[in-house]
Amino acid sequence: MDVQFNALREPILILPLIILFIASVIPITLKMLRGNRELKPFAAVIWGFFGLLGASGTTFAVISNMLRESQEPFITAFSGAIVIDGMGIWISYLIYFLGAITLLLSYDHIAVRGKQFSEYLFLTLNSIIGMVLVVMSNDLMITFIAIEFMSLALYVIIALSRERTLSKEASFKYFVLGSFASAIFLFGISFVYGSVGSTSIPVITSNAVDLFNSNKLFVIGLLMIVVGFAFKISVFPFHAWTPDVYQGAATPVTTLMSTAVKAASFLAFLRIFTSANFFRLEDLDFLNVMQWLAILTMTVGNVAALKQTNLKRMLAYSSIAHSGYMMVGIISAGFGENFDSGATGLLFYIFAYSLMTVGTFALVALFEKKETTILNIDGLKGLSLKAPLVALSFAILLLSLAGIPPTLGFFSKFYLFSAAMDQGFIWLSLWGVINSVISVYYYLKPVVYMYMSEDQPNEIQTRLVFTKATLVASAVFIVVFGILSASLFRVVQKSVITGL
Amino acid sequence: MGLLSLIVFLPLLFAVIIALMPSDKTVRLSSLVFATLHFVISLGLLFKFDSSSAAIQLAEQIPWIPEIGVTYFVGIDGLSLWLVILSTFLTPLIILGSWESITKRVKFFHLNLFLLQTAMLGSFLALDAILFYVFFELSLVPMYFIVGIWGGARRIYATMKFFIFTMAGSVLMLLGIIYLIFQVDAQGGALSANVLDFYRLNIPFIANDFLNPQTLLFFAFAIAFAIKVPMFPVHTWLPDAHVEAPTAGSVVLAAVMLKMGTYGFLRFVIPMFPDAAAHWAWLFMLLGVVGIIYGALVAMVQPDMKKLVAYSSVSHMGYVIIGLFALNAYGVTGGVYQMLNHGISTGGLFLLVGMIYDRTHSREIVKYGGLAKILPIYTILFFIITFSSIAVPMTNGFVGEFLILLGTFQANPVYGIFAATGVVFGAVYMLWMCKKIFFGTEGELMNQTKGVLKDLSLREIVVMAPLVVMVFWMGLFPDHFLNWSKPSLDYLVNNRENYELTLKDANQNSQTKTALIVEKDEEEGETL
Repeated sequence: MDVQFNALREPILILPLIILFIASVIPITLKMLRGNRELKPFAAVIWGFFGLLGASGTTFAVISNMLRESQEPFITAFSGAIVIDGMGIWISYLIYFLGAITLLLSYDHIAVRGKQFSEYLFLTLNSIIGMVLVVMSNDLMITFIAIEFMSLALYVIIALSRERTLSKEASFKYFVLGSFASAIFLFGISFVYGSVGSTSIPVITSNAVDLFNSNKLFVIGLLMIVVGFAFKISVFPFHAWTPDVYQGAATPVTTLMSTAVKAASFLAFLRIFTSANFFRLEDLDFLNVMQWLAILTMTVGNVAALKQTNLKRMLAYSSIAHSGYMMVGIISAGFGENFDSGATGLLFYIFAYSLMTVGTFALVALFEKKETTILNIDGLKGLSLKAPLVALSFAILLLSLAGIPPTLGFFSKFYLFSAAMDQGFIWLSLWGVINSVISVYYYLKPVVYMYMSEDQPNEIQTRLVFTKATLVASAVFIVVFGILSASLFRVVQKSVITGL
Repeated sequence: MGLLSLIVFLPLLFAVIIALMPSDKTVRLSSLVFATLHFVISLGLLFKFDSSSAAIQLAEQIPWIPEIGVTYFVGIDGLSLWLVILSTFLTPLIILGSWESITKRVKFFHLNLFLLQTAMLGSFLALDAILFYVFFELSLVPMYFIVGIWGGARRIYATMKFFIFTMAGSVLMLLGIIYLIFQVDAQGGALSANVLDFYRLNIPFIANDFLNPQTLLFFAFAIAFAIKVPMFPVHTWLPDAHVEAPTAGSVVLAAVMLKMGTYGFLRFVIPMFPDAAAHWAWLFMLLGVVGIIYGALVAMVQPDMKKLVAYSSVSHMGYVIIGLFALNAYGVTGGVYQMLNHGISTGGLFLLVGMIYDRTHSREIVKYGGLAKILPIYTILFFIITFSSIAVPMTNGFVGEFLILLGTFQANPVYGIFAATGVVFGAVYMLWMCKKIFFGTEGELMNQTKGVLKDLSLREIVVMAPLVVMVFWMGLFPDHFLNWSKPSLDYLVNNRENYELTLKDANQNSQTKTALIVEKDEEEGETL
């Protein structure tokens, strides 16, 4: 390899992010050049699509090739600050895809489309850059910066909604609590740095076992990092912001937050906490702490969802519950010698969960005629008579979230709990399946309203083509990928084991 | 695609076709034609099935999720043969039976019926545990819609209860299945969810101790199936679901869906966990007997005809359970026969109750009386089915209950004595209901509807006629049916401890192996 190529190697590895950034700047620049005249929303969305396509295209054509040629499971860059591996590439595809869906939903949505759409687009794409950086980071400082990058953009886009009260409240809540969490996270990093002398994740994890026994500050630092992550992925007891923020944010933004943000944060969490055998340390009983966090998260999420009347809040609690299930994946990946099965289960679950959630929020968006519309569950009454396709798609999504076969939701739970049972976590799996029984009650409630009542539903907007297409397509995918889940599972497993 | 896959997935194809049809009338008509066609195709099984073999026949196996050892594996043997034919036999009758009573969302109704059919047939034919679980759970969804959309006043409560109860039971089974998949790996094989591999597993068992693998797995599976059957004390969803369901829903539920539970005991619980099954048989016999007597006593005081039939269903399923857990040839054979009988008799009763309800919109027993004079054909049919239900000799019910009681006395006379009292109770409540409805002074409803009430139409007679034929056919010539299942049942009873099924196919080798097994059977086994 010649010297010149080597010099370019590192920038090439972050080429997707650069492309995405350039694409994000174009609409806002054009707007300025045109004397602060807003672009057509469609044009802005097209620019965003260029960015996302360019980013995923270069990931596919260049970066994954480099990884394959290196013959290693992963490659690092910038003195080991970022890492490219199969899992990361896979999740970044997912994030680009979810970003594209978010743009489509935003284009349709009344609360964000309009005066400041170029700014909105800029911030959304930058938030996505942050997420991909979270996925790639191999150094706690980069992780921190990436999380901040992602979150700061989100704080603003939540507030950008045209809706005047709830969204502002949500943004402020998320900002204040998020800042606390970030501060704790940073504080934790400083403790870890103090005891290890490095912020590089591989260095930390390789020293972890010794330090655990000798240095209590290191343990405190790690627990603070857990708290920081627990906030982002809304794990009990750091979940309280979730329903308010999910409800207040414009629905497309909620979609992005509940899927892509979670996917990125979970992968970073997986990276930090599964490579060092933390779970095997008997003194600290870290395993027990994590198990109880998982169990409480799913139980709290599911039980609280039972009583919700607002559909968006119900979905927010369901999202908390799903975080609990995903924790099961983290635990089984971190505990056993067999990292692969747990990680594969988790990644598959993230994929399935994202697909289902996108569809459900698309349904919520279909009902939002004004930015202030609030959709209660009984607003769905009789929907199956008025809009059979919409009702059927939503019913499939809900059944999938509840884990009824042969949908993707069932198979993702099957893989996840199989991985857990493989490591001997029978008790944890038992809690998981009991929780999915509890969840059946609230997931079926909208189905009852849609199919078993003959009242008039709230008005839906039939001309929102993209939103409707997202809803129907996700339902179709859920059934198709459910029955053919093996092929998808193989792809994920391969990316976890061999890098690609 | 083999015959079995065709039988399983044909209803799904029908569902897609009728989804594209415009009018209710064509939907009804073509559903009826499709369902009849499906029944005829399923009779093809009788030609292809070798009734002298206990092996799995007509098997089809394709990898599905090779990473976890899940395959698409269907096959048939003596245990599942008649259940498959029972469900295809009843579907056209159900469609014809709800010809006039289902008036809203006709297309969606038939869609659900066909989807349910696929799910039920799939679970009877699946020989891969995960595939079985998929079909087992899938069957909840269409039934949930059938009860919830076309049901009575409290339909939503009933359908939610039904869904959550059944699901709560089956998730434990899912964990059990996952555990077994890894056990197959640990005991020398690769990961596999194949039921035949599960049979070969050696699962540790410690008597008188609850926390050992085999006992826990036994209960994980048994609870799932016990809820489905349903056994006392987890039967409470059944009366609600039955009373609120439309006639078609009740018939499918009673005649076929409950059999998924008893079939589960036969296919999974008893052969896979033989030690635990033998050790805990007393518990299931006890609960079965309690269910028989409790169901009968509660049925006696029901003011509502449908609820009475629903509780009689609890009582009758108790017989099936004690028959199976008697773990001897008489009991198991009787249990299997009683599964079919219950399908015919309770299905028939629900259809008949539905027919009178369509006319009067009341199911309250006290409001009737003196119906025999006005509706003679109805009365005759009702009595025939009632006789089958209370096990009068010459009807099918007699054969089943007699065999079960024989088996129970052989296993444990105490249970036998109590179970026998249930036969008397059964006669009491059924005949009491018949007396109140058909004879005596005319009830208030009769006065109101005088002259308007018409006897059964040709359509309704056509619906009931096959059931009546079956009642006597199965009652007079039980061998015509039992001979097909006998090798499988004998093999199960005699080789419970080391149950192993082979595949029967063109392969010479495996055929000789099967033949050997059958021979061995005949030497060792006590024949009926």
